Amino acid sequence: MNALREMSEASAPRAPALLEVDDLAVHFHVPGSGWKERKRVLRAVDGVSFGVAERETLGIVGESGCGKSTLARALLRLVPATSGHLHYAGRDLLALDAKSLRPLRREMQIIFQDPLAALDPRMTVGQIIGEPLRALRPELPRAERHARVLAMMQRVGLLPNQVNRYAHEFSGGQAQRIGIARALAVEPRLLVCDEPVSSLDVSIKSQVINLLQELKAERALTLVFIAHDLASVRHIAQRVLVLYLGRVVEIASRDAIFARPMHPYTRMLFAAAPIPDPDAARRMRDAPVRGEIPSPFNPPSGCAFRTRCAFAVERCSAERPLLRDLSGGQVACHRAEELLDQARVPV
Amino acid sequence: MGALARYTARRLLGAIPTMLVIITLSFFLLRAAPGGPFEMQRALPPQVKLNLERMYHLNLPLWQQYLDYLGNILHGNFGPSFVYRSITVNQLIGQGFPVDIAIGVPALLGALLLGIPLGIVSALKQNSWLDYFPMAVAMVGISIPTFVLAPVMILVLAVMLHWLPAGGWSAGDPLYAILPAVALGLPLIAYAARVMRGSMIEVLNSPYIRTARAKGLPERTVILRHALRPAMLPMVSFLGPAVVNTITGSIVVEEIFGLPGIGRFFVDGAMNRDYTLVMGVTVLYGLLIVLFNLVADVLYGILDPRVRFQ
Repeated sequence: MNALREMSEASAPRAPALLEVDDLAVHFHVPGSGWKERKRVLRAVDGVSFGVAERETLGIVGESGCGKSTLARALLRLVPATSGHLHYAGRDLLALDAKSLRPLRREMQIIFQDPLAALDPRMTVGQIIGEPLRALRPELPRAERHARVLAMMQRVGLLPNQVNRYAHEFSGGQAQRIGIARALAVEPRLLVCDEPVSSLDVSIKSQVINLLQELKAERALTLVFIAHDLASVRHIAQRVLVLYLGRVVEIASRDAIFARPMHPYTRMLFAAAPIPDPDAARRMRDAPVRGEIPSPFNPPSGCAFRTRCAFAVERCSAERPLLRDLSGGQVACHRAEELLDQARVPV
Repeated sequence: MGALARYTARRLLGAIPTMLVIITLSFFLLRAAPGGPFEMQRALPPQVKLNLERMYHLNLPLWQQYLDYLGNILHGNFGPSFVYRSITVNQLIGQGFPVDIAIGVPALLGALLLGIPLGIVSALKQNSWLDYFPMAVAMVGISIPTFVLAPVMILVLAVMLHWLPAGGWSAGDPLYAILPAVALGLPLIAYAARVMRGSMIEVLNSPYIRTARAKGLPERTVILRHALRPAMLPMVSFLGPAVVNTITGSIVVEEIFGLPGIGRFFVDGAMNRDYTLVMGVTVLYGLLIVLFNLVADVLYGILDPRVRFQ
């Protein structure tokens, strides 16, 4: 743990981390499909370590099924962590019982991927946004609570006269605004955004991202922004973490990672992103997406990515690469240096 | 709630054609069945039969009998019973229905007050013995048919232990209602518990429950405020028909315990071609079904604001 702290300090000499994740694992026990089969363990998140500094925006990217959402939920203890450590502002989150965790919910909030499903269909917008206030700020008088709800609605771009409408009467973009208002009503410091725009139309997407960015600046928020859409991460994040099969393969500043992705997986991921530029599209052919993501029940030995990696050598199946500092960021690849040299020459 | 009142009124109006279809169909089907109320093993003298038929207007053309019957029903008069002489169908129903209520209401209350909480506990303690044990018992309760359960209960509790009467009925004595109510209620409780468990588990896994937890609500609030209401929806769809089934389905229980409920009149009436009695009970059951379906739909709307009454 100390080693990790030294490492992250070395790579990123910033303010002390608001959120510190150390060797976090979330495993699910899935019953076997037949009566003969034993329970299987799904390693959704496996040995993940990173830190998020106060007021920083950390983007987390990866393919579907790589553990992004599980990680987001585990950060707020919405799913139980199997092992590891989780510190928020110096407090050990995993050591808290449900009761002592509740006051911390005021400081850490989350917005979800499917905004409509995340809202109780039996509640009005006013009730949805007001409920966290009622639970976590019971000292506020009703009138004050109501005023805050209305102010919050206005801030996220909803009309105050919509306060008595039910959630299902809104579009996806509006529903996500409700979700944001709900999360921010208690004035948290940390906001985890679990693919907040991936279910929205492109035009709505940028509106919601811009809103998040404004709110972050206004309220000095620390954001963990999860997406599989690289463009929005590039837009909003200062640092980017790449997740593959529940493990961190690379962490680097946004500018560094987009200019010079170190891990072969990061390269593949970035190359696969559709770019409205025919030259770039042509380059894409050089690093095509190969194969399918392996089963998280039975991840490959050594480097989990080796089955799809064009640069895999024997060592990759024998030895799991650890996350190590390189060129201002961190990467988990045995051949990162060689590849970095190669990258300087146009492929 | 103006919309709700309008909706209820419209549904009640809509029930009129439904009832008309029920009455018409059962009237003509019953008449189409071979035999009649006065066909005995030993044929009646022709003159006696003619007199009887004249007295009950069975000599009139069928369409006229039908119209007369409709007219009588509109006045709430189900006519005289053909088999239980000198008693009207209204009187028979008036005698039998309280018996069915006396055993049906406790059975339904059991489903509500025992089945639902059991289902909730099972869902909250999923895959623990608090889940497995009640659900295993419920499965047994569903699997054992009433006609097995009831005689076993009679044998043990009445014949061997003499705790309760083995059968029969005495108005106002609740002891006679206990065994029939239990026989009727156990499968209901079991079903209710399983339905409730299933819907509760589903709701607890839904994204907005995760949101509620993220909001920092105490678990009690998450369950009572966010999970319970939606989880009650399948319960409502189950209980609407269950109420009617409990009343109509008590026929078996009535037979086993020898209770003077409507169900027995219904069966006897059908055997003896007691036209008016069978019609009367059919109309009553039809009304109950229509009514409780309406109640279920209204409850649905109250539990789920997405249901609009239009």
